Amino acid sequence: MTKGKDNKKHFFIYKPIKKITNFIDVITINFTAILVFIMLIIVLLQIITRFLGVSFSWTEELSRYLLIWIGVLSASAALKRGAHAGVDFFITLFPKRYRNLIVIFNAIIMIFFLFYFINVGWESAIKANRITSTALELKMFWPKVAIPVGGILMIINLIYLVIDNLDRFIFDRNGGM
Amino acid sequence: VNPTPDNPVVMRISYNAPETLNTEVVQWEQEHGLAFIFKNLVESGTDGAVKVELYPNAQLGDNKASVEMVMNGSIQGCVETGVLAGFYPEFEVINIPYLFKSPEIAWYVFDNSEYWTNLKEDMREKTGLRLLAMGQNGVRHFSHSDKFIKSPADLKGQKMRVMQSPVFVRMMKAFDANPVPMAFSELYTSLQTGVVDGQENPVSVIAVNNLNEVQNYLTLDGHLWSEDGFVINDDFYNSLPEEIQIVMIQAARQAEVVNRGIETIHSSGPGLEKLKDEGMNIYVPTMEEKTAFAEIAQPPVVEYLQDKIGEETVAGMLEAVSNAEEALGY
Amino acid sequence: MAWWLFIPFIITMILGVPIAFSLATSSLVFLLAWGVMPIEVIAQRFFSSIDSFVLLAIPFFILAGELMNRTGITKSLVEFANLIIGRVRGGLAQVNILASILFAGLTGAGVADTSALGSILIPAMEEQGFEPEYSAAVTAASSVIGPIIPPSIIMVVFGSIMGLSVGSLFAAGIIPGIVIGLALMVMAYIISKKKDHPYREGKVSSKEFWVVTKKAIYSLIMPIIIVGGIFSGLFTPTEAAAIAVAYALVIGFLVFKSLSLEDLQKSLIKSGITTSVIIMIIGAANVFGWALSIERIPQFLASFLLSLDLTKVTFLLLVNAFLLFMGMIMETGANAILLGPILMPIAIQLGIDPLHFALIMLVNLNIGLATPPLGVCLFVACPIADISMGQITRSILPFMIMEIIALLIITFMPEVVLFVPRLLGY
Ligand code: NA
Ligand code: NA
Repeated sequence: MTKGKDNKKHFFIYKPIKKITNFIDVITINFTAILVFIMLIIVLLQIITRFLGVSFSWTEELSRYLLIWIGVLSASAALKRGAHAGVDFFITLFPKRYRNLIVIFNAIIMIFFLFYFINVGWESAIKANRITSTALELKMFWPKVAIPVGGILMIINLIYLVIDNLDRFIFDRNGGM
Repeated sequence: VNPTPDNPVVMRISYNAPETLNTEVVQWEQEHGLAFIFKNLVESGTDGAVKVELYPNAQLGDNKASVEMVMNGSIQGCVETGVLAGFYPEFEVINIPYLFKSPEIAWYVFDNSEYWTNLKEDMREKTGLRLLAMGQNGVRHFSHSDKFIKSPADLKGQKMRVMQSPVFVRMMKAFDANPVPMAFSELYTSLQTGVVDGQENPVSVIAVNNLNEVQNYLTLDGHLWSEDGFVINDDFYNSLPEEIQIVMIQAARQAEVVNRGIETIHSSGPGLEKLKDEGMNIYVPTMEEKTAFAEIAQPPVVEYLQDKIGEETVAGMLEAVSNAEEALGY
Repeated sequence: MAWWLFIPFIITMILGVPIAFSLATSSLVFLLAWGVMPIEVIAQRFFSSIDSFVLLAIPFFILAGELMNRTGITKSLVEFANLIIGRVRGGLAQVNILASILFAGLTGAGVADTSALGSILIPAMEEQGFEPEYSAAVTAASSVIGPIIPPSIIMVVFGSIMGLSVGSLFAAGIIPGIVIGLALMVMAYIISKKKDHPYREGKVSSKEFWVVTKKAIYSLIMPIIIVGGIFSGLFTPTEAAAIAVAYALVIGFLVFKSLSLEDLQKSLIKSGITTSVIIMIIGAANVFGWALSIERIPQFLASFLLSLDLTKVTFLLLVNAFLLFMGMIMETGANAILLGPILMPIAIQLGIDPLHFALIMLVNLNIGLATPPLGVCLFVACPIADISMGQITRSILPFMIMEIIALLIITFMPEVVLFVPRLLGY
């Protein structure tokens, strides 16, 4: 990615959506960073309290739920950075310009999946509202709602990916990601 | 639905236990026994109009996941242990320490009391789970790396692994032990390396998971009774014609008896034999010793449960138990 | 019905959809086409498979490795390896392999190894006259050792789904990791003779020796803390990961004083992102595995394999060939989650020790980290050396042959795997 002013020709929605996704991304990654740190403190606390003979019953459960939130939230940041592993061998067989179209197609497939993922995730979170966790007696809605929230963030990033690649394809910028 | 042999309805049942039976320890696995008998009786009783497919080894998901799948209809039934309270808090009433002096009393309460019938009915209305059989996963006992737990004083300051449940934590705290909530997957190593000193589980769990390799002393105190609950999706059940429903009730009842029988064989026969043969020291506490445990462990748990699931539910169970004891001549 | 699972899977994978989404989308298509099961099962299976305490080790081991790297410990490890082995034929190539073995004690993933060591060693090797594609190939091939010597994220994942103790897997990985390293060193030696690669000349002063060793010792202590802590009962494998982070923080902030708060922030972010990649694969592979189970495909495969009446040896050879192939086309974690439950019961029935078989699977699948077309370590090494996949494919071939030889040693000499675990009482 090149820094500095971008004076190239773009779709009208390209710049605003780029700004929005970048803003969401900064918030997401820093928020999950804090969650990772809290999770670390909790597990260290669990070890120390066991040595002191005053174990809490909630440390394990809380750290598990934090892990779920971390995993699902960061998934959108991972999408943005192309960190999810995939076989890009066959794509490289295509001319550079047309790789943008494959990326768009793939993004649409993922959005299709995420649409259902968010729906059923939300449904199961709502149902889980009646159930409480064993140790914290927390409404299971809270750990489970991580799925739809993470799903929405992922869709936002994918929409950006589609627009970005469409923009690259039409204005013939330096080829795919 | 009106299933016929030509147009059968499929019923999928999930459980954690393996299908292949560990012949070294036991001839049969009780969860598989329950599912197997149910399958055979339902399939023959409906002349194949209901096809029962078994999914052992937690291949569709663990206990909690299986119950969730039954609730949302992904599968029709499952055999679970210890997770129903997560979906219907009142179920935790069976977790009062030393509630049943023997499995026989537990069976009597589950099979004959009006209290239990009402509780099941309430659960069915609130969760859509129909408890078709109340099998037995076993009675939980204390084990320790280097000493017998004969009195509450023996537990003082000991790091005891418990399930991540407030009831278990409260019970251990009442004994002045140091309860360490821990996932079962970490238990063996933690006992081996001394992260924890002891644990509590039924004989079959100890035997099948070879915990005797890392625990030398077992006290058969039986502080908690735990279930192999066979729950099925109520909507599925209601969609079936009455004749089939009756076949299912009968099949489940017989499967339940077989399950309890197998568990009893485990915990009194081959399972216990295995533990002894492999060098585990086993102690059977006296009634007085058990009472000493009970007097300390019960009050905080009862108080907690009264608060959580209501005094009536707790009192009802205690009454059902004393009625059962009376009826059985205790 | 099963075609509704496999065809979308193959299509999406060829198109380059990330493996997690490829697995999840094909499961969704299967459920939609079948129409019997509520789709909710996707959320349900996804959630409950990642709701596991053992998996907490993943972000912590990533974080610890990241912090150690930012502290500058990677460089000191490379210097230390150079002291020990730099004078051997193959010079920096040997250093690269030894550094990977040492670095494996800090990192839980192969990619971390490639990026941390590669960014130091590939430029250094090129400067000394090694070919860029050779430098990248050595780096990627030796990165495979990272997740075999403890700590190891893939072992955490595998242990948690297969119900094997993570501690015993960690113990079992130590010797196989070293065996692979030695095998690679042999090849580096042979190649260096043929191509007349440079190596370090001249002795090192004892003063320099101590300075370098002292710096490296902090990182060499880390695996001792992790493995020792687990075996002495101070903490569980998951907690050991958190202790590793605490140790890295102490070293970075108090001993080396080279870590900044910004480093911490960046490491935490990196840990979150890498964790999510693994979590998404675990969740999606479990959904996919559920669909396989409901279609009874594992049973079908198992009974097919058993009907072939294979001997132990033919079974192991067949499995190894199959896994090598799967490792080439699919991600390591997804492979472990999907294939472990199918193959393990058959292996046990044939009388193979579960721990031994687990290591065969894990070593084999980890080799896939450095094999084209889907070898994540290659993806990382190529841009560092500025070469193409085609170039690295050719130069990694001799190292792949050595890794397969090492794999066969591990497969047919169970003691290589089981010696340490037995010693520690597993
Ligand atoms: Na490692
Ligand atoms: Na690969």
